[in-house]
Amino acid sequence: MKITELQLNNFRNLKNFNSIIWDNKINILIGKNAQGKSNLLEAVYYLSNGKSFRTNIDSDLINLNDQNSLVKASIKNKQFQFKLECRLSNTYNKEFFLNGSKALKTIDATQYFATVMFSPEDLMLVKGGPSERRKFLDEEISQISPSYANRLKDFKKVLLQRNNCLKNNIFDDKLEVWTEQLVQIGSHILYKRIEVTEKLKPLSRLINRKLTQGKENLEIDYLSTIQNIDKRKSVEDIKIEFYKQLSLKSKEEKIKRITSLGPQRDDLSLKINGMDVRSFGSQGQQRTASLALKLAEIEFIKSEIGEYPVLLLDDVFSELDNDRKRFLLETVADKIQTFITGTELTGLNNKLIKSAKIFSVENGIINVY
Amino acid sequence: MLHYAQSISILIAELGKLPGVGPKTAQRLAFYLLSVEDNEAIALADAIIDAKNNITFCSICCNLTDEDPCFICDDPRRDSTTICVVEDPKDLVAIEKTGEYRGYYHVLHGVISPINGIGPEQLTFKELLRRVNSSKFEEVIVAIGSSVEGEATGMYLAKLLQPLGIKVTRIAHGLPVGGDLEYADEVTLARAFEGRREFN
Ligand SMILES: Nc1ncnc2c1ncn2[C@@H]1O[C@H](COP(=O)(O)OP(=O)(O)O)[C@@H](O)[C@H]1O
Ligand SMILES: [Mg+2]
Ligand SMILES: [Zn+2]
Repeated sequence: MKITELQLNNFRNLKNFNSIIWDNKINILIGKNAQGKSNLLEAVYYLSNGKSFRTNIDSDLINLNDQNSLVKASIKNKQFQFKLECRLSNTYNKEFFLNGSKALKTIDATQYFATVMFSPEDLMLVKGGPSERRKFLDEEISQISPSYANRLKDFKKVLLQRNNCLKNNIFDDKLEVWTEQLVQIGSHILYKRIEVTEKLKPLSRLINRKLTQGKENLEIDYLSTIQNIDKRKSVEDIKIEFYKQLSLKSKEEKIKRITSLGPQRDDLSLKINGMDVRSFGSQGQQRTASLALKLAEIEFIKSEIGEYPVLLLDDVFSELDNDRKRFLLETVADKIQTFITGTELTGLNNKLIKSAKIFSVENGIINVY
Repeated sequence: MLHYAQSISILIAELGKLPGVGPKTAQRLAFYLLSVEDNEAIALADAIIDAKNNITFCSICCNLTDEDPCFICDDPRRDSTTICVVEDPKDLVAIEKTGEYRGYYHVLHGVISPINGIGPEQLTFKELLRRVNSSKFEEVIVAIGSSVEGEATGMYLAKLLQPLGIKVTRIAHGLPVGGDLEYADEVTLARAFEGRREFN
């Protein structure tokens, strides 16, 4: 999958009204701090996800001195070439257009474009809290399954409504109508998360082994707050377990006034040679495992949709040692369109610089370097 | 808004309160209204006042009406064994347009949503329960959009009415997900009615 052209209009500080033509392979964006490099990756990410990785407030994305902003791209996937456009405004909700016609729902337009973002914060994937790893799974699955993305949205609404009932002492049938939906939608989410974790398992193990010259065995597992569910269980089986275990918690929920079990509390367990990496791993092991997970994500998306997503690497080169840098570039080379941001070209390998198209980013303006 | 004469500012502000109308649209509408013939503007103002003065809630189905009971509740040729429960009057109109449904209606004026402080008490469940208890309805059809709030509302109705021996069904969801009935075309809506299923 490739993005061939991009037009940006008042997206944060970016003001390139004319299209920028990208290289099919490697694009390097060089600029001092706070010039707009991450903003550019954010714009591309926004087109593929319908949301930002840094804010949930769409109006933050509009230039402070303006009311509207536009991101428009020509994209080529293995089947067809299309135009994806997003309009943001302070006066109406965001609108997405696929080949010029307005999408009823954002995902109707964004589903044809997949990106994977990798930033220094992702090196915290392993070290951070469970919500980081849930987000990792959720974003990844949403990229390949619009129905998962829809369910996730519904699930969040149901959870909010159910917690509100618990908080306000609303019980019986009035709570039950939310409990049933929580279990119903939540079980589909659990099923998919378990399925995807099983697929990521061999991929991340292989990549982590390569990154450590065969020394370390990374083992990932879905760690649910609901017992007795695994890859052998159907959605119906999961529903039964979920409902049963949630019912047993009803007393506790009355006291704590918050939903006690479910996908919103789950985690991924990550072990290296049998030891939990989060608690016992060295910083280096944690970073390697995070990188392995991210690269596994790319391979997973490829296996699901039949082609590689566009890769967005924000400032990661300054954070990686030479071995990991080389491995990352070898993985990417020749097959994945990649956007790399950094403050300088020094430190990047010569072969990479020669094969790449380089841009400068200065005060919101992007130029060929 | 300080740049406009006060009466224009007020007009823009009032129009801006309408659902789906942002400041820019409000401004455009205001200038449009100022540009039309006097009698057209007066006709619009009259229509608003007239509707406000004459429209009340039907004491039976809770729909908006200018006579009580409304023309639907007042029509004895309708199928007196079924009630179709809808979220709001717009949905009732959408269903009437299909011409497929011949029973009576009940308008809830919203869906259950705890975070917005809306429970069954804030809707017209009480009126519905009274109707069901005092007449010989056999089936209640839930025709509410498929948002999680709509779903909760339907489930609650089923829990409320099934113990009374009433069959509670929901229209098939081939409808735009999370979408309002009013956006569904007539054929889709008619099919959704035909494919209705019982809550379990
Ligand atoms: N809505 C906005 N309007 C105008 N400028 C913005 C907006 N949001 C962020 N910026 C500016 O963008 C710059 C940060 O850009 P960013 O892409 O994060 O920098 P970097 O090049 O270091 O990655 C800052 O100068 C910030 O003031
Ligand atoms: Mg940055
Ligand atoms: Zn009536």
